[in-house]
Amino acid sequence: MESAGSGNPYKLSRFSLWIDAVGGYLVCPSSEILVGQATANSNVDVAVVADIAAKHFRLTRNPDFYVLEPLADLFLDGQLVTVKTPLKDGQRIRLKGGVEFKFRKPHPLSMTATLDIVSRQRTRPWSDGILLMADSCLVGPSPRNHVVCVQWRSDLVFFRREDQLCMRSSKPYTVDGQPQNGVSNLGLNSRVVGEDYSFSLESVPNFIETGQDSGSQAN
Amino acid sequence: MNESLATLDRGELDLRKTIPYVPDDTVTRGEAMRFSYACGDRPLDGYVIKRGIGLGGFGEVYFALSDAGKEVALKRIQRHIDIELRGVSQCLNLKHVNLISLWDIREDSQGNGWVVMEYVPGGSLRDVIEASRSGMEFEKVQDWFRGIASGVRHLHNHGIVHRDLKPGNIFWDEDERVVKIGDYGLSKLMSAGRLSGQTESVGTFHYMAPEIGRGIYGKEIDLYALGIILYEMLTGQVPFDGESSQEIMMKHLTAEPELSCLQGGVRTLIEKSLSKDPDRRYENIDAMLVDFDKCCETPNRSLLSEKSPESWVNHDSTTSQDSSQSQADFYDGNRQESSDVLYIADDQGELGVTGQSEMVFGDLREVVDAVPVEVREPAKRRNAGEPVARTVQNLYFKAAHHWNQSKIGTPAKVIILVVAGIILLNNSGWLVPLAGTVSVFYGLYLMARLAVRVARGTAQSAIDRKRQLARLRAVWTAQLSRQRWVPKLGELFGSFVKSGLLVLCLMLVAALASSDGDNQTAPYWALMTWLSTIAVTTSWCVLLAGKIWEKHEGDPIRRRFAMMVAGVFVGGVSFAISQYFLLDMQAHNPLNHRPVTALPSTLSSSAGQPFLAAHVIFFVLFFSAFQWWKQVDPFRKTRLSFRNVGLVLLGGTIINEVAGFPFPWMIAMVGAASIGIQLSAPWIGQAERNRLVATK
Repeated sequence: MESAGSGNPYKLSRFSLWIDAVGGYLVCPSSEILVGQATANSNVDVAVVADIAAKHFRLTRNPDFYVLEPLADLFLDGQLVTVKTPLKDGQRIRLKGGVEFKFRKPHPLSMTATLDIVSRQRTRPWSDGILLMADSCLVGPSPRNHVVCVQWRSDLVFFRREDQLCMRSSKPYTVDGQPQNGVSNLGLNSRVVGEDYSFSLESVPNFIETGQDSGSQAN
Repeated sequence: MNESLATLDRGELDLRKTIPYVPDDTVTRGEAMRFSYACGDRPLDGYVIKRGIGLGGFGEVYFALSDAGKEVALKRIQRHIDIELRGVSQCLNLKHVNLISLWDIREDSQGNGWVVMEYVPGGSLRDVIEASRSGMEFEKVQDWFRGIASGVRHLHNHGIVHRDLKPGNIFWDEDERVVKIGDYGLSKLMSAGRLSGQTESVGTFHYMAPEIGRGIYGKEIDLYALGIILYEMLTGQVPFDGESSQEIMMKHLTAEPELSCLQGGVRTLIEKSLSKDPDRRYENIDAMLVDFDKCCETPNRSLLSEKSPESWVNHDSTTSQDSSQSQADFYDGNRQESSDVLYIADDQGELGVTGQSEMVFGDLREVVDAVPVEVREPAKRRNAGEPVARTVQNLYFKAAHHWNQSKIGTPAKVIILVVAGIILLNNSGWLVPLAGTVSVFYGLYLMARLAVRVARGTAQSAIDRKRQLARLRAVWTAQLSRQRWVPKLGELFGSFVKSGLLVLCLMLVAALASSDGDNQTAPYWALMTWLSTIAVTTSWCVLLAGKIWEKHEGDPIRRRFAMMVAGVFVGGVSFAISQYFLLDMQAHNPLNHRPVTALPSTLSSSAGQPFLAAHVIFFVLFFSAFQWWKQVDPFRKTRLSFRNVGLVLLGGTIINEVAGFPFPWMIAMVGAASIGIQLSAPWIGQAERNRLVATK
């Protein structure tokens, strides 16, 4: 993997975001996301349990758009794509074997995007959806949030300060039992409880960080 | 995944853990959510919890992964473990595509029971209905209904009544693309406990068949719930809605569903499913499905009104009005004849379990008063019970119920009563004065309440009186129109003379009363002459206007405008006379409180003498501030209303302050004018009114 996160010198590894009563999300903060088959030793950011190539495509976040780079056959909104192509909100990426992703970049002020497997194949680690986290990620009741939690009263923001994950909420909350207000740092296994919500973070080993596959994947 | 993911029991997000049963249909936004376990916990060996899914009636539901990676939903059973788990174990081996599979029942090291079951990724029917507020598409309704019916049939065929069918318990499995019913085998106690629950949210009760109140739980209650769900899918609304659980239960018992929005076969189907009498519903799911298939076979067009070719629902804009109207009628009927309610309760007393029916009786009584005030017209509130007494009564009923239902033996009860009596006697020293104080306060409260209600009643009678007067006025006007203008003028001039004399007398009295000998100078009498003249002019203006307006009640704004013009005229007269007499406004200021500078320099001379503009402003304000025509209305309540005089005096004082007109004597003038006007204006006495009624 060449120059991973060139736009972002800091590394924040992947983690799972388990939001109670809402869902579980695999958060990939890297600016390059590799999607491929889930195998015993997959070295991809998003490992899908499906009949797809070991490394099927790559998504790269540029300062103001995402680029889809096919590494095996894929169709973007029904069109076969063989070269790097910019992605737009709402586009569907279909692979062979009936695997289909939906790409969303719902919030105009955040470069964070989401990738849903509409064909319902599972990811490893388990997730309901994938968050391609840029500098900030919004969670809460607003319909343009990256994770829409209809029952919540207010939004909260995840953001990163260098390689530290932080959150901000206008209401008081606790992180691992410690009362917090406004902005606080989160560990990758923190438990956060607000007045009308709760969620846990779970760290995920970041295979791509090892860098040992950088050469082998450019097929 | 941008949508918040709904999974098994997704609907069960009403998260008040402390109450006996947490209903799951109405999700209260912002309720605190407290799951006992967080990501990574392993309360049950072999499973690692990832996140909470919801907090349901029987405890918390979690999404978990087994050590081998199997995704499951774990339901933690905290109360009544043996009973509930017995229910679950009955269902443990049911296999049906439309039922959420139960896999196992396990016990953790702390003795908590856990139900291991299928995890369903996808939303509930509740979400779908909420997303399509005016009803779902025809094809979708068919898919959902057939799926639900198929699952319920499987349950019934295996001798299981679901008891808690509702959209929040029915899911769309995104993986299998089928409908899945959840939470069966868990609802035995839940249903029984609900009737006494106070804190429950309303959503739970929308699907409860009326006979549940009598403790009858046949499979007919599932058919009833299916009818409600079908209605809700088609129209987007439940047929019986309300503010409180009691109100909804009351409607299940008595109200007829609003079916005019449905067409043909579906209407009959729902009507039959929603019969109050379980025996008049469909015999079983298959019979219901036969009718449903008939509805679907019929070419859609023949089922539909011309307005809505795409659905079964006739979305007539009047529907909601009609239903609200019928709702209002329903309340009204209840309120006027509380015997209706008693009848219902008695009726059930015959059929139902005694303890239960007593409960229903208490609840229904509450329903009558708990009917939301907003729905009713304020005038219809008159029969509302006294809330404190009602609350105490309810508490007593509940306590009595629990006392009678409790498992304490009779000897123990006797001992408890004796001990309680002794405690009461020993504490009578302070209890008696406390009770006395409380009853004094309660008495005061009752009196205040009575006063408010009497006032309200007066307001009501005022409306009646107004209507009566309008009729009288019409008769009188009809007679009047035959009158020639000469007698009219004669009457007017008669009033002029009367009011002139009266006002002059009053002003004289006022002048004499306030004079103290040394101020009886020529300027003083000039001042009095000025005041008397404008008082007379004022009264004449008002009388003239009243004569013109006497026939009907006109637009108040126009009348005020006309009075403003009169005010300009009187202001001019006032200025002219004050100039003629060269009055010194400051010289005879009996209160002597107003500084010369009170008027802005544009309105008065340096000596404090007001210019024409000041006069005009005062009289324009004075004439337009009151509904003068009411003081000359021949149908005014009494000839002379002290209230009106008081109002004019008060208003005159305020205007005097606001307008900065420097002469406080003006208040005496306005009072005199008001009295003069009222006493001289024609007034139709009660005898004359009676005669008018008779001639009508």
